[in-house]
Amino acid sequence: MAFACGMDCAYLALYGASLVVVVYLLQGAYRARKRSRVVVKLRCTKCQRELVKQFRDGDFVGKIYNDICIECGGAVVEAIYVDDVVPLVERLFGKSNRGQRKT
Amino acid sequence: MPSPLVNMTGVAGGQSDLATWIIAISILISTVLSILAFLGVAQGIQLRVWKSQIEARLRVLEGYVNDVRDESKKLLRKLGVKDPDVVAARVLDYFVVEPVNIEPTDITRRLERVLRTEEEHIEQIVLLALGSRPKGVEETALFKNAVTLLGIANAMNLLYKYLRHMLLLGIKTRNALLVTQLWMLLPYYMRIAKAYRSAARTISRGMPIGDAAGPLVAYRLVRSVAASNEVLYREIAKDTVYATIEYLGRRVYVVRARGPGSTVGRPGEAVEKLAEKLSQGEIAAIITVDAALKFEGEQTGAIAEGSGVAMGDPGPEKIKIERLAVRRGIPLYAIAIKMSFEEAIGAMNKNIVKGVESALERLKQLIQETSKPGDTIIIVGVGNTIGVGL
Repeated sequence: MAFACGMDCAYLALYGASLVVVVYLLQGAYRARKRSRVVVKLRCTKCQRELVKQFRDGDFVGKIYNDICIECGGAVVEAIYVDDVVPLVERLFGKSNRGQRKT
Repeated sequence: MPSPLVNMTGVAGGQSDLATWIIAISILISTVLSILAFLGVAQGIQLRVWKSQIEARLRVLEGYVNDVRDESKKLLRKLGVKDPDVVAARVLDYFVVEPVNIEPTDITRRLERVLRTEEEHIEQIVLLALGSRPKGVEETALFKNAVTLLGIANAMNLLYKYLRHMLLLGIKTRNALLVTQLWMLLPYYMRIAKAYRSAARTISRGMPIGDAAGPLVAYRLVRSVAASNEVLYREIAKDTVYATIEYLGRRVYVVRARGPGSTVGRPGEAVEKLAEKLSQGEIAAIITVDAALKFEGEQTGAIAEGSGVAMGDPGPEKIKIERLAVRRGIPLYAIAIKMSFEEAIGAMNKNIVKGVESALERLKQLIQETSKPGDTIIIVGVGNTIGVGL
């Protein structure tokens, strides 16, 4: 490819601009994508420590788990809820409002 | 030598002929289009465009209905039903006829009879397919969740058929107003359908939904006073339990639906039966805690206090508590936890859990303000207890 001024430079500029637009759109779509996880919050019945684990089928509020607290053993499920996972890109560059719909 | 002027005149004459033709055709086309616009052709074209857009959305909605039906069949199979297709086909087109309302005498009792027949019949259909009653907490919860999922599939099927009917009727009768109205309302209906579809996934996994906020407050109140193994829950009505606790010298009856299966219980009947055991003047207050729909712009999890019975039932359960309060002169207080429709039927989120914690503090404050030591209070945690055990 010749780097002299003229048509070749124009094509190069066009490819470069297209690449910038595509990268911008992709990163916006990635940041707008909502990821969430289901969190199970437990509380130890003895030391009252708060514990968190991933949801599994069969979990419910009030279910007692034995041997889950490292110090005491038993803990009871206190709450089960969906929590948004903040992507690394958003943590580094801040929140994107694209595609966000407030309910 | 020919004059250059002769050549120029020939070329100029040819170009002016072409320009004249172009102008004449343009005027003809615009005249014809204006006449057609007055004859309603533009409206016809607009309707065809809207019709194709509505049909595209209806195909998406049909996909949602199939998804929910498949989820319910999967849960029935997990429960042990050998032929879930038969059960789903039977329940999907189930209908309920409203009681006569031109004669309003005892309409709530008639409505109660109809709704209870529906609830019991659908449970019976699933039980017959199952062969035996579910045993144990987890199997019973799975059974209740399957029944609820079938209810959602029924509601979505009805919504889809109704919207398709409106479209086909509008086209058949050439009613532009009907099609226009449908096109304008479709985004709202699609929002509801999408919320139901996401709710179906939550219910099939047995996770708490936003509407479980009321029972969760009741659960937290009982747990804040006594450990789970110290409290004895007694069944007082179908799928409804109550616990008796002591809080700051007051005797508190905490009524809620039995979990962790998906059910709202019969809180009105439960409160009525509880009051029969207590004497006139003994009940100082009845406090209901429930999830409430928020206005656009309000924060999810915000708490509001009010009076009356916070209960989103069609009438039979709520009226029992109201009539009891009137007979005995009992004040009715309500605490609402705000959330949107999607959040109420979808998986419980962090903001709602924070709202539950705030509602619990407000409830404790209300108990102290509205009663004195030695009084008896009834607290009702209204809502669906999916994912919330005892």
